[in-house]
Amino acid sequence: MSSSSSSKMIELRSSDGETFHVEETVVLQSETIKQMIDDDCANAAIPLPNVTSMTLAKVIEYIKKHAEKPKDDDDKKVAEEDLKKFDAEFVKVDQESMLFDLVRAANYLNIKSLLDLTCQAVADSIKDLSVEEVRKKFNIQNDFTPEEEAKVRKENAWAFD
Amino acid sequence: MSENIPFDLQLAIMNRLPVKSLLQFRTVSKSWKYSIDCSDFVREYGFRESNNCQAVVGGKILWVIDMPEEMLVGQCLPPYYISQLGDCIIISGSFKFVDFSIIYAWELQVDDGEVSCSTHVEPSPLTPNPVTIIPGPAGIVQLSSSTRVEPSSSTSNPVRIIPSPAGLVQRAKLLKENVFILDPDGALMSTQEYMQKVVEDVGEDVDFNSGAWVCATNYVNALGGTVTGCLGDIDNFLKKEKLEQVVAIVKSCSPNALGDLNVTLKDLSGTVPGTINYKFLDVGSYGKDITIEAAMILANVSVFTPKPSKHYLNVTKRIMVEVFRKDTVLGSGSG
Repeated sequence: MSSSSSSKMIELRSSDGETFHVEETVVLQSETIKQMIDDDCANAAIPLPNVTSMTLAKVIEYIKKHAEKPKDDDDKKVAEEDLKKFDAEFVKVDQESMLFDLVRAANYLNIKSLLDLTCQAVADSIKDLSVEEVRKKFNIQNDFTPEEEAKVRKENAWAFD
Repeated sequence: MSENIPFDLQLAIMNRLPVKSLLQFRTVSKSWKYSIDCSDFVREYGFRESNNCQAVVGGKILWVIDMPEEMLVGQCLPPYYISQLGDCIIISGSFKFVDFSIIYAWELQVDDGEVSCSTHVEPSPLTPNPVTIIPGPAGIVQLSSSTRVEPSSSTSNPVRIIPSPAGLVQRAKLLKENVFILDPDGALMSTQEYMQKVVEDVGEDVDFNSGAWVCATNYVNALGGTVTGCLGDIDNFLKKEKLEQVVAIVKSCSPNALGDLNVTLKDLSGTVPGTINYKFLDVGSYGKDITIEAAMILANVSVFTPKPSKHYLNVTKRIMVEVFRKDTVLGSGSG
């Protein structure tokens, strides 16, 4: 290849076997992959058994956008605004399961800014839900007895008005 | 259907909820309630939220929420937590955080440097611990008429509001870099006194009576060292991002996707998460020895601090001095 950028390409393989080629400088945003590269484990395709191709494509879209470097200060301001807009749009996913997948992927790949972004998006989506809806969403078993639950509810009765 | 979100990620999400939702979600499950009531969570939450000015004092701990970070004085440190709200320094006490028997909700507004606050107070008849509130210059904090700050009749240490000399706030600011530790009477303790107390307190903790722990202690003593606790107060013990010595018990351990072990390490003063490098697990026999309840002696431990309130230990072969298996029996260890 005669690309002007001399960055090395890293090959990532999703759980369903699809491969993605990403510039090393971009992929270094993932602490997990950075560690693998540092440990010299990235000569062949890096297998990511916990991430599906659909999720990985989203993650790559995110890290590519976040790897863009502004040229000067004026550009920087514009770029920051642009990035904010991008982030806001990025978490508007059709399926909620996708958001959960992104949270898990961000955690597994250890991309802090993406983890922050997606966790915040989940928090925003559940903050007005009822307790029962939250349990359902996270598949959490209610392990309180009715008496215990009533007691806890009473403790923060003022939070429910 | 999406797979479940692991609990540590649920925690990360909880951390980003507004306080009202958070309190409501204490009834989701026992583990949610326990986590939300836990001091570490409160502290981290306090650091994250930084827009409005709102604080909730729960049970025996103080929640400082939505506080601009530069306004925080001191740190949450078991058994006491000190913080500054506007010109008001708030101290709350006690070691146990599980019992959420009182809820104090503060809603503070800061206008032109004046803090006004309305308070919901629901003391429970079982409150065994003091909550001490020390306002700064008189009149800055105005409690609304609905305020009821009164201890119940069985409270041994009453809630008290102590007006302070005007200089207190300034002094507190000077002390900003330090950690405050209070004894049960409210007097400042030195770090040494605190450590001594911690060492005395652990007598009842079964973890520190195990064969593995005792052998680890003997090992350190035989080398002329002493076993102290530093995990509860890492900021103070950290030198060049390293801890000189950690003697700890493995409280939990689970492999992660990279083959490393995620562990929780507990020493005399506190508990901290860490990762044990997979390369190290393959070498020698350590891999098999590191289980829950095993004791470890580590030297020159690197600490990863992604944010002020969060620390992780990175355990590699280089820093491992000795591992004591969980079934270590006294007398057979040193051989």
